[in-house]
Amino acid sequence: MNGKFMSFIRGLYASPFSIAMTLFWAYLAFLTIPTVVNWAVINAVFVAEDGDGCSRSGACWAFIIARFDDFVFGRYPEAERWRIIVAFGLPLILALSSLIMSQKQRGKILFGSILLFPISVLLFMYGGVLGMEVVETRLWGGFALTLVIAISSIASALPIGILLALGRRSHMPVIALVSTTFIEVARSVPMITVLFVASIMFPFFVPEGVEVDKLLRTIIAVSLFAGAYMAEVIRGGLQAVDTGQYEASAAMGHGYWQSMRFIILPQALRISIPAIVNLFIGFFKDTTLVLVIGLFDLLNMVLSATSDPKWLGFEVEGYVFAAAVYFIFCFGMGHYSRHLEAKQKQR
Amino acid sequence: MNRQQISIVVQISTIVGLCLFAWFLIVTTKANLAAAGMSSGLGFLDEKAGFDVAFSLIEYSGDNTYWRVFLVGITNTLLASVIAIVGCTVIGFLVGIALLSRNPLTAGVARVYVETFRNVPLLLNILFWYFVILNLFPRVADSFDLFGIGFLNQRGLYLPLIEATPLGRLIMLAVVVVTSIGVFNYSKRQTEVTGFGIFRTGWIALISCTVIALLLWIGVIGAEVEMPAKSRFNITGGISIIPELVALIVGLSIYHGAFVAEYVRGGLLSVAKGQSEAALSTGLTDWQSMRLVILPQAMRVIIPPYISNNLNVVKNSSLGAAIAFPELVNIFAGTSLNQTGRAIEIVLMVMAFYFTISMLISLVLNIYNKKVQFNER
Amino acid sequence: MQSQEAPKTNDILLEARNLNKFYGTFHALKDVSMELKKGDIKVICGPSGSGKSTLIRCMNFLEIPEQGDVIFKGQKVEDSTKSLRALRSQMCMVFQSFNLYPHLTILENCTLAPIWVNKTPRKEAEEQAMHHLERVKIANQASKYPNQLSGGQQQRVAIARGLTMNPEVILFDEPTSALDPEMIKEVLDVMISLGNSGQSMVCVTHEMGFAREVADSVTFMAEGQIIETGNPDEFFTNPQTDRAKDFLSHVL
Repeated sequence: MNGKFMSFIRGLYASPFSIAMTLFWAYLAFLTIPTVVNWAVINAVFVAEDGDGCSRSGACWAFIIARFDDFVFGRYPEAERWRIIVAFGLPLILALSSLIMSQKQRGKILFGSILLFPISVLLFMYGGVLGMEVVETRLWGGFALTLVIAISSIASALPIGILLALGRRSHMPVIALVSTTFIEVARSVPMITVLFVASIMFPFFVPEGVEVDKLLRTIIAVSLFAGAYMAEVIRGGLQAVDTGQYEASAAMGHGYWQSMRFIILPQALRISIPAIVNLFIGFFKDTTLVLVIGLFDLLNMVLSATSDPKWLGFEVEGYVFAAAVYFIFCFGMGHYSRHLEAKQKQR
Repeated sequence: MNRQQISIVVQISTIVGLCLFAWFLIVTTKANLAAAGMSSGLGFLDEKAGFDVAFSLIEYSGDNTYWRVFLVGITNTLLASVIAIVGCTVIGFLVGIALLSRNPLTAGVARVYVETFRNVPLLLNILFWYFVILNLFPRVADSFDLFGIGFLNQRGLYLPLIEATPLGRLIMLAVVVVTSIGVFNYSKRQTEVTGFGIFRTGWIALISCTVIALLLWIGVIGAEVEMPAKSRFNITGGISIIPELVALIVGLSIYHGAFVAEYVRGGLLSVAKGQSEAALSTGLTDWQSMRLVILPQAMRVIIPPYISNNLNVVKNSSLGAAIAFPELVNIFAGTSLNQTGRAIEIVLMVMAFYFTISMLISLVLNIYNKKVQFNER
Repeated sequence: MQSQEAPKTNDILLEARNLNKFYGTFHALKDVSMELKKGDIKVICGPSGSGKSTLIRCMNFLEIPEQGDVIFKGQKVEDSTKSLRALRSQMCMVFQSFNLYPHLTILENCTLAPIWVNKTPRKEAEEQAMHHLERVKIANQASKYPNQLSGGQQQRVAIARGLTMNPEVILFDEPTSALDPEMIKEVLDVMISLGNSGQSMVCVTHEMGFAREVADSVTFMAEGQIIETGNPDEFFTNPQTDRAKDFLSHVL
């Protein structure tokens, strides 16, 4: 510890250039840190009835606190918001319970909780069963919507990705060609165009009278889109599995699906987990794009709150809050993914 | 059935399945279009668009056709992407080197930058800069005067428009040609003497721009300079760079700069420690060992993800649509689609454009990988 | 063979005075001193972790000693670009893992430092490099890349790369430890012929045969200290300390 501290100090004046940089950063800190601290903490207002109760020289965190519930739950009816907590809570409890299970069962339970997620969202958030009223998806919003889109898309992208990855590596030319084309086209276009397809083009593709919910269309489109990226991640995992494993499983007389199911895929998926987490981080951030097709995710909720006549002129607070939420989740997951990667390398 | 037969059956049924699916799509789409009283086809491209766009590199007015709108969208997309690529490259290399700095403050600040911007959505980033520009920059009436050559305000950055006379253009061309010949010769001589060339494109650009600016200054190149002029409510003349473009470029550069920085750091770290030791032990300086030994090896690791990063920049420039920058998705897949209702044609054209760019970039990547492999063997 | 400069009053070429080096709390070199005269060949041996590699890396300032001085040709070496450049351009190092530049050909590996450090014109640098490559019998591979050569060949190239700077001293850091047994001899042969030509060298090595044949003195290190120094015959036949005896019984 002491040695680390000493080398930290020594680094500050190791060379003339280093001394210059140290002075520069010190000066910059002197210029910015007091201003930022004054704004964010000292002059900030945490409790206020409306915007008039906030000062202009400090942050108005009262605005964030007042609208916090809306940022989390969107425009979901207030009396029904417990259902969102249940919908997210059930799979979360299942996932957490895996921690006390044995290593062998943990994977299965985690997988189960991911499968449970869309079901519990459909049952509790949408409702229409067990005496719960239907809550239209156009009322869904906030961070809950962000999570619904991100988690459902990545969860359904996983099987799609596995099939596409196997397809791309297939010895059957037609299958390989179809998979490769899909993967490459999907990966080459921006996500925003995919969202346009889902929201504008989709109605042309289905027979008249058939209506698919806009949120569901979005999730399907993002799932297919994410599936292409997932396929490349899993293909990387498949390539990383030792060729000896393929030969051994073939030599033991397993057919293609058997050897994939029991020998190759479990290893490939384990190798791919850090990359899958990274992919999830990417799509978690990209869910913000749904604002261009008029869905109210966290970012869009925050933006629309800044034009609330009661709270005008607090855009910066809104941006800082939204950025902080995304940062905490993405940074946390990124940390976790690097931790997994380091653990894998140790083996 | 043996394996070969299974394979044939599977493939044939895939083809049949796909054909059925395509047939279903076509039939329902046609029925839907007919029911809505709409026709299909690319004929609409010749129709008059009738709307204005805020910014265009090529000449455009509302009288132009939708095809022209498509071209305007493409040029604006490419303009924003190219500038952002330059921006994120500069930021990325500086920050990437700073991440490995021995000064802990520099390394720490670089780390904070990278982690912050990698973990916050790009859209939020762009919207934030757009908001900042619109609010912190002065109103038109109080435009900020840039040393007498331009103005900065909420509506954008106004700079002089320089239109060279034909003779002036010829002189400019001559300057570039002469500089290129000079730089190429110098580089060739350097290669003969040292075995290492110099960064030719960079030097050509730097020298020719300086010389041309100098010639313009002293008036050798005949050019008509249109200075932006301030009136009470507006600024007229000159060229204006709209705030949407600035916000988009700043957002893209900062966001992708954080990724490039990580590639650069990874690349530099991938070079074995013994390499710099060997270089230093023969008396090369830190800088020489960086330029001659470390960077050439690190570049092989950096370039492939860097090239894919540039593809992502082009794709992500479509987020300009969210702040109404007139790039392809906004004015073609947005405004034009709303006016004509040709959803399928338009979205397919847009996708085709991005697909083409993607293929071009993959091609560059493949050529690079082949070249590197060839060099090592 | 090397450019013999005018004789100096002080014929000590390289001297280490009371070097101390720490890695965190680990004391890697404890007050180590040694000197090398012009034309001397010094072999440093000892068990792994004894600080012998650290010692010669300190002499080249690849590791910077916390205390003590390195004196090269009567000049104290400072941790400054100018002083280090003067030191390193006259003293080369051969590493255990060769450290050839994989992106450059064999010839380019050997011309990089002469061109950039000594500002030798390229043609001349190439001629000199070919001369040194011939000395290590590898001139016919000049246009290949390092990873196309065997370990022994790579190490000979590394030696030639060092020779192109016409060094006063060559430091060898376990040059044969990473090699397969059948390749060790080709590298040792090169080193022996260098020694016979009057080249000053410091070699960290376990090759006792080499030490016996050409070394002027053998230094035995353990736990960061010099335990004993003597001429090879005495050291091998009659070591003074128990630790050296113990070590030799394991190595020989």
